[in-house]
This record gives sequence, C-alpha cells and structure tokens, in this order.
Amino acid sequence: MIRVAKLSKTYRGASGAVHALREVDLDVARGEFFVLLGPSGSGKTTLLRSVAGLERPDGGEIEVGGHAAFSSERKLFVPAEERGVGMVFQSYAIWPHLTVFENVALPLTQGKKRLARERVRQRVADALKLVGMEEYAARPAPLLSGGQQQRVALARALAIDPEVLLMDEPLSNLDARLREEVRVKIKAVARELRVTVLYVTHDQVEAMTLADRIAVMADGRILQAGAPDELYRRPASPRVAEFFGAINWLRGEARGGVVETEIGALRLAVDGAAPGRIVVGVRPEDVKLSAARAEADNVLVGEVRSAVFTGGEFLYDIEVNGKLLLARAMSDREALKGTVFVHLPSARMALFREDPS
Amino acid sequence: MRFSRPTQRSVLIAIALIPAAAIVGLLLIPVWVSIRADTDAGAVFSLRAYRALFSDPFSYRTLFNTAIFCSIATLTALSFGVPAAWIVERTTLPRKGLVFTFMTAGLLIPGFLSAMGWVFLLHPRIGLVNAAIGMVVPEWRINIASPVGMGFVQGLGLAPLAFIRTAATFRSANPELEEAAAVHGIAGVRAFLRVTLPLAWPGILAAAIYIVTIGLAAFEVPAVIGLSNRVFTFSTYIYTQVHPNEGAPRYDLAAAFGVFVMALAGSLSWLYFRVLRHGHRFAVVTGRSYRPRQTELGRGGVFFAWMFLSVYLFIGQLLPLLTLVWSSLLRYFQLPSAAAFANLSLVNYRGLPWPHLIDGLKNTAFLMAAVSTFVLALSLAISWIVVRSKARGRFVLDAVAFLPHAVPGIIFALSAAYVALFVLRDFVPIYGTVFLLLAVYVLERTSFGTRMLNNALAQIHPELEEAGQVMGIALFRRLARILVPLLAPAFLNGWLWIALLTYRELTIASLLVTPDNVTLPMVIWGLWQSGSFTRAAAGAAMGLVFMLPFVAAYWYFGRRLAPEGLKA
Ligand SMILES: Nc1ncnc2c1ncn2[C@@H]1O[C@H](COP(=O)(O)OP(=O)(O)O)[C@@H](O)[C@H]1O
Ligand SMILES: [Mg+2]
Repeated sequence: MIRVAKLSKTYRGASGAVHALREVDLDVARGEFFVLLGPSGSGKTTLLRSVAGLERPDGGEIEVGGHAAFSSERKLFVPAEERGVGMVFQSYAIWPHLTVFENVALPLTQGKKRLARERVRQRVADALKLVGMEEYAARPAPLLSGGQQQRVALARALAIDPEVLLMDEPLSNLDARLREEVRVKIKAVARELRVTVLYVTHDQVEAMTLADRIAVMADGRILQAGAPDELYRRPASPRVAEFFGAINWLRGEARGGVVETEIGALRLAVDGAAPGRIVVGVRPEDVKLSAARAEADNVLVGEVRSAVFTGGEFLYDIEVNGKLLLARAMSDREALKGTVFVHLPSARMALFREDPS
Repeated sequence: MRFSRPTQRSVLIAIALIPAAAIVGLLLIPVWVSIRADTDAGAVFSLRAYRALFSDPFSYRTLFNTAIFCSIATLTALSFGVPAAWIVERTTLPRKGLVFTFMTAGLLIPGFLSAMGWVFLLHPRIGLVNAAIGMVVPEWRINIASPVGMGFVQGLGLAPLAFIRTAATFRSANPELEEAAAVHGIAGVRAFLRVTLPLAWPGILAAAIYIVTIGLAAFEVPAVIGLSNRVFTFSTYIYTQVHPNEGAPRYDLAAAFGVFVMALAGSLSWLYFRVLRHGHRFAVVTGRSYRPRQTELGRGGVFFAWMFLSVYLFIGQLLPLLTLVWSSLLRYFQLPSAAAFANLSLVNYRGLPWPHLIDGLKNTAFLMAAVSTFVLALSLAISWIVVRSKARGRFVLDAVAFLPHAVPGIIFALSAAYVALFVLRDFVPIYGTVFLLLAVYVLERTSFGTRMLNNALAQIHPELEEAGQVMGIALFRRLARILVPLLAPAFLNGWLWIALLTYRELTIASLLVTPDNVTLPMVIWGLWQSGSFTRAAAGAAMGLVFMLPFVAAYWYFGRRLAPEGLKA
C-alpha cells in the first residue's frame, strides 16, 4: 500500500547539512497498522511528510496506494493534494474559524472530489459518529478540549475515505489518562475501517500496543522492521534492544557453545558461535531468581542489593560476581533477601558481536 | 479544467512577481535618466548630470539642510518617543493604555496639516506665537521656516513611531538581567544607566536609523513650510527640479540627486538590519513569556510622567490642529481674543473651491478602497511565497518588496512620472489618470503590506494549511477558505491603515497629480501654495472631518496591532 525505496532527504541550513533520511526502504501492506518508532530527530516526521507529499525528498521513490507518488529518477512529484491520503497532525491543525462540522466537511466541499450537500452531511455525520463526536457537530473549534480536537482531526482525516491514514505523534499533546483512551479508539477505528495506517511515535509502549509491525528509526535510517514481539525478542542490534526497555549487558568472549562473561561462563542456545568478543543481552524479566538452586544451565549465585516494590512486581538489583544485574519478578510473594540463585535461560539471551570500537 | 498545484503555485508566483518587477524597474529608471541625454545626434550617455549636480552650491545647501532637518527630527522624535515608551512599558503608571492609544492615533495625523498649523503658530511674520513674542520683545522671532524649525515639526510627527519602535524593545527586555543587577546591589539610577539602557540601546539605535531614513525622505513638512520660503531639503529639491517656477523640468538633475539619496537610504537600511540583528543577540529569546520588571512610580513620579506625556500630546498633536481650525474661522490672523471670537465666520469655508474639493474627495475615496485592496492581495501572494513556499529566491522577493520602504517616495513618483510621460505616453496614456496614482501608491505600500502579512503569517501554524493540502484542497481554495479567514483581523487592520495612509498621501501625488486626477490633499496643498492660507486651513479642517469615520473605525477595530513596517 505504501512503498518507499532508497528515500533520502538532506536539510541544508546555515549550521550545516542534516541528513534526515538516508536511503530508507519501507513496505506497508494493505490494511496494516505500521508504526515508525524512534527518538526525536531520527527522521520519522520527515518520512511521514514525504509520504504525504508535504516534503520533497532528494532521492528515491515513493508509491502510495499502488500509484507512483515520487521518483527522483523519473522527476516525478505528485503534490500532496493529489495523493488522497488522510493525515492527523501533531498539532491537530483543527481550523479555528470553523465549527466541528465545518472542519470535517471542508475537504469534502473544497477538496479533490466534491460531494453533493446531502452526501457531505451524511459523510460528516458518519465520521463524527465513528469517533464519538456526533453531539459536538455545531461546536466552534476553539471551544474543544485537546482530546476532542484530536478526535475531530481523526474524523476529518477519515471522512475523505482515504486508503492510507498518516498520523504524526497524535497522542503526544494529551495527558496520560486521555492518551490511553484515544489510543484504544484509534486502534478500534483503524480495525473497523481496514485502513492502512502509518503512525509515528517515540513512545515504545504506544508502538507495541498499536502496531501490526514496527520500524525502529535512528539517524535517518531504519534499524529494524518487524512485528512487536519479534523486535522485542530478536532485536537486530543492541540499539534496537535498548529501545524496547531496560536490558542487562554482559561482555564476554565466545568459545564454541560457551561464552566467558564478566559474571562467569554461560552456555549458549546455539553451538559453534564464531569465536570472538560478544555482548549478551538479558531482559530483567528473563533474569529468574530463586531461593533454591534450579536444575538448569547458567545458574549463578548472587546477592540481593535492593528490592523495590512497584505494584505488580519487584525490581531487584542483584550483585553477581561484582556486577549488578537488574531483575524483575512478579510480586505474588515476599521479596527475596540475601543470597539467591540467578538463572539466565539461554533461549532468552540476545547475542551481538561487539563492535571493534 | 481544474488547476493542479504546480500551476496554481506558478500563478501565485506570477502575481507576486508583477509588483516586484515594477518596483525594480522604477528604481532603475533614475539611474537611466540621470546618465542619458538627448542631443541632435541621438541619445548619449554621460555623467554630465552628476557633474552639474555636484558643482552647484545649491545642491550642497540642500544636502546640508537635509542633514540638519533629519538630525533635529530624529532627536525630537527620540526625546519624546523613548521616555514615553519607557514610561508605558516599564513603570507602574496607572491608565497607561490610554497613552498607547493616543500615540498610535498620532501616527494618523497628516503631517502636512500639522505643518500648516505650525506655520500659523510660528511663521516669522504671521505666526501667532511670534506675534505674541513680538509684543514682549519686539526683535525676537522663532523662525519655523528653517531646517531646524522644520526638523522640530517633523520630529513631533515621528515621535509616535519612535515610541512604538522602542516600546517593543523595552517590552522584550529580560527582567532577570535587571534582577541580577539588583541582587548584586546595583539599583535605581545606576541600574538604569548600567543595565536597562545598554540593553535597550540596540533597539533605540535601530529606531533612530529607521527615523533618519524616514526623515531623509520627508516631503510634506518641507513642502508646506520650506517651499514658499525657498528652504529646500532632498524631497522638495526633486519636486522643484520637476516643477520649476521657471524654465524646463530638469529630470536629469532630479534623477542624479535621487540616485545619490537612494544609495544613502540603501546604506541606512543595511545598517538598520545589522543593528537589529546585533540587538537580537541581547534579546535572550527564552520562549518563556515574562513580564518585564516595572519601576514603581511614586506620586511625584506619576505627576511628572503625566505632565511629560500631556506636554507631548498637546504640542505634538493637539496644538497645531487646533490652530489650524481656529485660523480657518478667521478672515486674517489674530490671536484668540474677545474681538477675534466676535469675528469668527465661515467665509473661508464658503470660499472653498467645492467642485474641485469634491473631485479630490471622490478620487481619494476611490484610491483608499482600491489601494488597500490591491496592496493586501499582492502582499498575500508575496508573503505566502516568502513565508510558506520553499521557492528559490524567495528572500530576494522579500527584499524587493521591502525596497519601497527604504527608498524615498518622491523617487518612485519621479520614475513613474517619467515613465508615464515619456515611455508609456503613446500606447498606455496613463499620465493624468487616477490609475497612475493607484499603481504607484500600491507599489509604495506593498512594503507595509508584506511586513504586516509576513508577521501575521508566521503566527499561523503551517499545519493548518497543510491539513487542507493533504486532504485535497488546492492552493487558491486554501488561501480563500483557510488563510484569509484566519488572517481576517490582520487584513482588517491593514486595510484601515493603508486606507488612512492613502488618504493623507501627498508626496507621490505632488509629482503625479494633474487637474484631471486631483486628490484631496493636493487640493488643500494647492490652496496653500497659492497663498490663500486661511482658505487652505478651511480645506484642511474639512479634511480632518472627512477622516473622522475612518479614525473611528480604526479606533474600534484592533488599534493595538502595532503597525510594523509603517512608513509615516
Ligand atoms: N525544515 C527543516 N529544516 C532543517 N532541518 C530539519 C527540518 N525538519 C527536520 N529537520 C532535521 O531533520 C532531522 C529529522 O527531523 P524529524 O524528521 O522531524 O525527526 P523526528 O520526527 O523523528 O523527531 C532532525 O535533525 C531535524 O532537526
Ligand atoms: Mg517528529
């Protein structure tokens, strides 16, 4: 539905050039909810705006809905108003001089396809109903709360019946409770309409809960794309791994099926890893703690240095051979104290070759 | 066929390029005229006009007069404007909103009307004040018809501009810098001299340069006070070269002087932007909004502040206009007295050339409406390209649109007169029509329109437009349905301002008006030039009356919108 190939964009300013996109490739299937995840400044907005036609890339290709929208080779640039996508802006961009109804109706009466009065009324009503704003149709835009503006923006984008819906950090201006509520609404609406969504966020939880697939961006590149659990379980690089929450890093030397790490020798799930310096990543919830020694590989002895109760679970700092490991465990019983056994299941370890640097 | 975006964009760019090209053309014409001469052997090009200009003592006298006039005007404007700005922005003076209103309104008073009032007050022979002085000390006189006197009158008129410019500087001063001084024991007058003033200095300097640029170009005051006494400054020099009392017009000399002054004005503008940029380094833009520290005024301070402001409002704004109205009711000049009151009559009003006046009023009314509308339409095209599009060369377009501010209006008039008379005459007979005035007024005001809309556009989030664009609304529809409604307050305000500035415009008209396209200010000035001063005063009073509805409208709709980029 959206295909991006070798897309590049460089901003040149007084303070030098910024490479916002560096040969980005992306493929979003029909009906997919696709999230671009990355820290601020990683190029997400630039990519989204390039797909919308609001930004003109320097090189590469973009296809939207099966039609070529941009190609540097063919010198093709379809302007934004011809691409027929819906978009929800970070600022919502609700037109303050119009009512809710007029906001949703304007693209239908002034846009590419202009509908008859009766059709417009019907479309606007349907769209407002979809987001639960049908009672507010007559309200002037300046009187809306942030959450309401957000929903009107969504209704407006959906009313033109787009095949592709673009959203740039639509929840970042809402307070935490509202964010949860609107997130659920967005997901439900997208499902119901089977619209293809390209969604930008820097919030890992938001990405995991919404996405069919996620692309992690940094420095104008896509580091890895895949289903949320895939990215979580099998990150392609330490950077991606760190993006999805805390992780313990252990440096070591691989020899056959074993790695000598700073806290001791660990057996790996795969035999015959190429010898050399590697880094092992273990998520806190994969650090299994027990008072009695478990019968398994990779069991070490550690000391509980601190235990913090966070409601549903305990967060432990465990010292193992002089190194602190972060561990997370369900809080259905008392916190562990003193000496504990630490089990690191080899299936849950992520291995990376350490950079020569 | 519906336009797709690139073509609509090109249409908009074409619309914006028309005035830009015309401005550049009009500025190149003086260069051309100054080096070209017709001889029997055809046209020849030489620097003869420059040699003639710079070997004539009269040119130097004019330059000297202009320098004195400009300096006095700037000093006067700053000595009233800067303290007033400080009082309004940085003290606890009660009811100071009123001051802002009066100062802004002061910008609307036509300079040539005030100048007439001052002649009635301070003319060496007929001035009311001089007559009063003469009763006490027979040999004393204040001569208003001198560069110093004219500079003072001009300065009073420019004080509101100095006020508005420096008010912005005082308003954006970071209070923490002064608080830091206070914490370290620097307070009171020393804090003012060591911290407040140095911080405001770039802003004041920029305002001073801005006012010098306007003073350099000033026409109305020198025309009303100086011309009949043969005291010339730059603008009136050009006027007399084109409309000499005897002999043929000397376009070449006027153009040569024009080129010289354009270079001077260009350097001043360059300096202005340098100082502004330098000033921004101090402005500490934190993004936070803060209220500047306000000095507590005691009872004495409040009294003194209001005294100062009232003195300015009285001499700077009320006195000349009251004098004008008073004089219009007299057959001959006399001080207000019981006898004088008994002699008041409307004879001057009955003696006005009414058909002529009505013609002028009609033309002026047409120009007010048309100029404002065209300026805003063209400025929207230019500002959109400058602020919103990423078109290459947009900054050049912006600079060109600013040029009419930097370059004296009389030079535009000179070029336009030349083009209309000698180039367009045979195929577009526009000379002597109101459309020539329309065209030149519009070009002249485009600088104001674009400054104002650049600012207004920058306040509007680009995503509001982009939302329309992504959802399929083409450029002209976006402008009409989204941008124009959002800009409505700025448009209304700008429309009224431009209309009022058009109402009082005399500089450009002085070279382009003929009996067939006369404007109201030209009728009044014509009466003045012909020596019927009291009748001119009656005309001027009528002019003030016609203006009232617009001032009222302006008063009613957003008078607090600072007229950024205004050329008074
Ligand atoms: N209009 C612009 N001009 C110059 N640099 C820009 C512009 N827009 C974005 N950038 C730069 O490009 C990089 C990517 O920006 P952006 O796409 O907005 O990132 P994100 O949305 O991931 O925060 C940043 O370094 C940003 O500063
Ligand atoms: Mg962004």
